[in-house]
Amino acid sequence: MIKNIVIVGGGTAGWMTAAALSRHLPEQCNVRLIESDQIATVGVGEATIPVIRTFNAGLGIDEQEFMRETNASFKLAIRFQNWGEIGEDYYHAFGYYGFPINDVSFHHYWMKMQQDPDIGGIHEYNMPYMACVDDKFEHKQFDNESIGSRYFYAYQFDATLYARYLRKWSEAKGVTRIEGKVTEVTQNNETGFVESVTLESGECIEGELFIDCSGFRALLLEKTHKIGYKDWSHWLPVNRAWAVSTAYENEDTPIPPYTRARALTAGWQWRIPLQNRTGDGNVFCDQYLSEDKALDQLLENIEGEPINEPRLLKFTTGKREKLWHKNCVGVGLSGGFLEPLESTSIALIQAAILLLIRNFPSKDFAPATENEFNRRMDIKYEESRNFIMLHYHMTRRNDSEFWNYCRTMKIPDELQHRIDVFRHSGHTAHKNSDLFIEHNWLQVMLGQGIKPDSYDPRVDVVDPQEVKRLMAQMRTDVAKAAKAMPTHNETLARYCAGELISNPLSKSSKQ
Amino acid sequence: MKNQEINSIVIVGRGITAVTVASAIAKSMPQIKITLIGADDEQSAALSMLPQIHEFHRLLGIDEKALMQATQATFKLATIYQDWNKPGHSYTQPLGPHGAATEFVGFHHFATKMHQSGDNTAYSEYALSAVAAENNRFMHPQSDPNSIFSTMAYSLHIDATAYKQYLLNHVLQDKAHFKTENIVDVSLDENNGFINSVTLEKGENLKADLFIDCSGNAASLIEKVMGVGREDWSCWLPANRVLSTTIKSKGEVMPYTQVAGKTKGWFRHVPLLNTIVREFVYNSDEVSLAEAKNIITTGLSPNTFSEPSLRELHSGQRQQHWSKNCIAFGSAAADFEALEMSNLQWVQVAVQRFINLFPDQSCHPALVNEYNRLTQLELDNIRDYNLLHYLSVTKQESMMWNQWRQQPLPDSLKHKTALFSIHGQSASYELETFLEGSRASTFLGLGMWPDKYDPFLDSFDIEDLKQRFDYMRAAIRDTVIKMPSHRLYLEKYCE
Repeated sequence: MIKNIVIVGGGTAGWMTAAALSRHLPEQCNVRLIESDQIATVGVGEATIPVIRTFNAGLGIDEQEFMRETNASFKLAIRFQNWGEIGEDYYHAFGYYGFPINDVSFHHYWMKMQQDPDIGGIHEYNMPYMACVDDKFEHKQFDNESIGSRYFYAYQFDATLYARYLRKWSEAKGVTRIEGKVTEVTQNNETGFVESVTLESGECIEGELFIDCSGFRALLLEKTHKIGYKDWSHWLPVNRAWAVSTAYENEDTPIPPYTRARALTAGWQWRIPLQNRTGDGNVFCDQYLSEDKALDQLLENIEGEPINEPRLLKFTTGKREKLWHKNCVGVGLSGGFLEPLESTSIALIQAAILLLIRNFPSKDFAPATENEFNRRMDIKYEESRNFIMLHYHMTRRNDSEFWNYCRTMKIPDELQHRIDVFRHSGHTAHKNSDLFIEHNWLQVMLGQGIKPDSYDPRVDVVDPQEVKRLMAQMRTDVAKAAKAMPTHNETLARYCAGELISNPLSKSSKQ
Repeated sequence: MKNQEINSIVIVGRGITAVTVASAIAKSMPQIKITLIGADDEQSAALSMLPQIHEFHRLLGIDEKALMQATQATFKLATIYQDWNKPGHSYTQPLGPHGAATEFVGFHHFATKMHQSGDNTAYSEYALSAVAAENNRFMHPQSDPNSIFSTMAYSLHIDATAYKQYLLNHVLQDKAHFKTENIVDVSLDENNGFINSVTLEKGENLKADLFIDCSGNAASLIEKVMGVGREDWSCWLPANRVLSTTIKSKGEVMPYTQVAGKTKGWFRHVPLLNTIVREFVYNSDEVSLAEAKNIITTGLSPNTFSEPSLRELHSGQRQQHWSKNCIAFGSAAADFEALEMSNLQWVQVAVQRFINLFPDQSCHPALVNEYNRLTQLELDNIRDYNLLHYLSVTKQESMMWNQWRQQPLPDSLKHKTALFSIHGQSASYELETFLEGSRASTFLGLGMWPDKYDPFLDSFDIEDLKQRFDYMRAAIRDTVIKMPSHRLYLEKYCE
């Protein structure tokens, strides 16, 4: 079996990989991670999607400790403002609309009855949505039988602290951290396999399997193996982000249990609320908005005071032609970057790690294993890309060149197919990708303003009075359950309050 | 907000496929007027189903006990392959899982490690459904995850004629109209090519919004009218004839389907309460009908079997199962001999998909494409699963098998096989009818052990593993011994 695994690069990807490998590999395996304190990681505030809990649970991480140490808050949704049109506002929440009736999804009944004044908005049948509206949160176990517990949650945390937390965890499990910068990569003359990397210090690190977590530089996949990059800028045109952190006004400032994505003129602005601060950023395309103007826009739109200097990130959306080549596997930004809109970065890291573990190679590195990994990661990246594109493309905004481009761009056939199926039937097309499933697509398609011209004909079979009665019951149950929840602030304070970090830039600490 | 709904459907065909499709639609949308026309020319056969049948019965409100009482159906726990890849070899493919599931490593890796250390126990000894099947025992599974009976899974063997009658009596009832005349003419809309109406022999003109082709291999609408061609699989699935006979049987009732390899082709035995249906599947270039009749009745006493009846098999599937306002099910859409399941199993799944995507009168291309895409993928996977069984056949004296060996395999199957043979890994494709566990069990059952097991098992102590395996086998054996015989259970259950 492969015994020497070398991870090139730390950060979220590197330490998540190190932690998972050290947890699942047999003890005799040697996992080493090379990182340099001189190279900053990209991780800003990070919002996640619910699969992150599977990852943490797989490591056996204590949730309270993890949340305390990473300043994490709970996340039930992403709130999209001004996406379909300026003034529009919807949540993509981690839960379902109502219960199916007679084996037909709830939204078909709602689509039929929506004109009835007694019916209300479809969001009123979605538990996490209603919790978000009042900044409430309670972490319950998912229970499909009870409408008040029929939701998932994720976290919003400080990615740098998460990496640090996982580093501590991994080192305790025997992972060796090596400080240094890689200056040279040695390949086998015949096979092209990477045999070792050499550090600035001259130290040579040999390994059998190399994980490229070197971020955008893609030290092994690109610099060494010359694996090309599929540029998806024509589909996801944003290419810059300004990021800054802001302070809460005071301890009672409500901490929303959701990430906010507000569409601006050439992109959008995130607000990720952590326990002790928020992470804010403006994601934009520099063809439509200059860097300076984008920074102004960011600072105009933040709510609290900035507590650090804004940082500019540059990127090209896309994916590496293949993530696994010979004995190198790319995890994280070395493999591709979409953009942060649907919090897919960490989910894609996790997916790659899981696939690597499930398809762990032996020393002969059989091509079939590499092919399977690449084939499945392709699907995951393309699905995520299409899901993000849906937000940009299904807009009626015509107030800027950027939105005109997005609205009219040619989209991939598969996405067009999904939109067409929904528009003409209210059904969501089937695809086996575990990242986003039916209720995710449904919420965003409705949220972006697609109005299906038909609903499932089986709806007409059920007595409308009975449907109304059932719907009224669901709506009342959701409202009651949401009302009974403590606020997100209360839950955080009780469950996992981190230590308050004094704000180095705030007036009080400057005095 | 709605377009024009479908109000009327004409189904061509009156056999089990047509009645299945009509029942499912009538149950979901009773307001639609359904008319079945033409002849019942599908030959009765015994159906061997998969556990997916339970969901279909739930949707149709069919009570299993009532169905079994009325149809003399039997339970199915497994498929047992006899002399399949080589004479004298047999293995059991259970409907339930093997061993205990672990999060990252499939049970078959543990078995591979045991095998490499010299253990020759059959893989099926670690599946309760398999051991119960081999011992002619049966009990219903239990849902309590702490009970060993939660690892059981089962389906049914049913007589097709009786099943059809049951659907007619209890589900379709008076919800459909029947006409025995055949179609003599079809009229199409000049603008969009949709079918407007069909004319029957006595001159009656039947209009409908949607036309369903359940005419079997005749494909009288989807092919003859809509002009949709077939994707031919005969190079991969070379058998093209199925001869069947019903044999009287007493005593024990097999709770499994048996597939028995013959020099030229194979037998499939599907047990009903007092009969066994035997099918001989072969290629007509190699075996004449007279020879086939001879083969199928060899060893049977006179007057214990029915006159053999012949069915042609055209392996392949439609390039489009659904075109405009015409959709095909059954062998009009796809024909295959799937060893472990009858074509009707796939019809039940397909009609549920169709109902979930049910169109309005416009039959929007997006829905049509979605249905066709999913259905074709699913059938490709079923085809690959079948081919997997063929890979192991070593017979040299059969023309059919020798020709088959010269055919290149589909790329998807090549990938699946390569991945498994290296270290037992499973390729993941959308819409697999036979899940990872079933595929692994087939590989191992046929002796296609992977070269290596999952590297994570390197550190597992082999002595410890042996103990656990011994314990598991003993627990399964002890459980099976206490189970009633299949016949006894059936008699009590159907009292």
